Amino acid sequence: MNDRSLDELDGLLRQAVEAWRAEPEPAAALDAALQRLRRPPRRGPRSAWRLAPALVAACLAGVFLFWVPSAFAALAETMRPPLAAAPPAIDAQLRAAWRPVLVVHIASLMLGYLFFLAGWAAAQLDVFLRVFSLRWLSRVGPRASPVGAAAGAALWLAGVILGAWWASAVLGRAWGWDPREVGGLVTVAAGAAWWLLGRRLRDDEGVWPAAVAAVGVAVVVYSYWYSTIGASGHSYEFRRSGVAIDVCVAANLLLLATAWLAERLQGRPAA
Amino acid sequence: MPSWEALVREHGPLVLRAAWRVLRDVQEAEDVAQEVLLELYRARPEPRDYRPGLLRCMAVRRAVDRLRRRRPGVSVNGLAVPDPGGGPEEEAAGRELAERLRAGVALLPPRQAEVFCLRFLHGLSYDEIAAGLGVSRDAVAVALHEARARLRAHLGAALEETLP
Repeated sequence: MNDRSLDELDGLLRQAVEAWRAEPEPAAALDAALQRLRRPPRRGPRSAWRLAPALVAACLAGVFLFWVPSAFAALAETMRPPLAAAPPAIDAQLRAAWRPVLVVHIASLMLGYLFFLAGWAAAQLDVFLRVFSLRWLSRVGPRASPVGAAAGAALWLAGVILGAWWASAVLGRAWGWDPREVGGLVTVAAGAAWWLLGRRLRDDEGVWPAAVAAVGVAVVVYSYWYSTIGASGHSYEFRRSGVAIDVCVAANLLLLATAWLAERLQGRPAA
Repeated sequence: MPSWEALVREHGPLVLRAAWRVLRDVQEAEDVAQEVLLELYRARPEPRDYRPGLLRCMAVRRAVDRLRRRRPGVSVNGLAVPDPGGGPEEEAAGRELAERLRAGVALLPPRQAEVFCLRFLHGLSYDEIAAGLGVSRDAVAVALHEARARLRAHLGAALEETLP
């Protein structure tokens, strides 16, 4: 290609455009298509009652999502070994010496949450605008979502490694499969899966990129809830926090179900 | 009740042909036309005086989206440059060249592909494209320049593959 001049390639491009434009128009087929288009859509574009199945499905999903984590947390509670009378003492001097690592560990995790939420919000905003026929963001959300997931998962991986380093020095073991450690692993895995799936769906125009982001962030949030509230002894916050997360997840599912159904209903009319 | 039929009668032909001009596939063009008309129908139930340039932009945007989703076909023939005013062989070469260009357009970033199609397939002016896509005239010029450079490279590479 290097030895071809710009003029030569420009001429080739002009010829290609001419060839594209010169292709004969199938007038009869286009007229037939126009006739088919004249038939009014069988299902009206704005029949709100037709969205009822989506509303019911979303409510059922919300109830399901409430009971599954609640049951999971209750089961985890029964399987938890009884607490020692007093927690093992940690050497204050050792803890102070390792405080910087702990600070970076927590900062990394919090920044990871921010990226997860930013990716999720971009994808949901995109669907929200699509529902109301405002398409100007429709190419941003599916692309932003996996970027947020990748950054969040990377920061969480770094946070988990830093936490293990801190624990090996201060607690005498790097890994103990306690709820927070398991929650960290689940969050990294969810972020990685979200990133991989989101990358594959980044050019998808439907609701699936947002659905992947919604499931990803739901796993991240439930993991947080389980590891810090549900299974860590803060029982006074247990019910309220669980319900609040369920309501948010259900609202998210409602939005996605509405958008999905609206797309289906506003699709091609039956021939 | 708003008239769907009036909307289709008034704008359908233009939108359908604008989509077909990009896609060269009647079924896909029909799908695109229906999406665009439904968008108009939902936005303003009563038919209004839509500018043709805007309608073309709407149709081309969706058509380009579909073009980009197509799986790139593998050509069994090499790329030949057709002689002007030639016979059936030249026609076949022209079709092959157009197909290669379509494949190249499908690989462009969406904005560049839209601008290229609106300018070269529909003959819209820079100002019409800028108004239809909601971008500045300079952005149109830059996108068109980049699109042409990429397509030149794409066709040049295709020609290199063919010629010894």
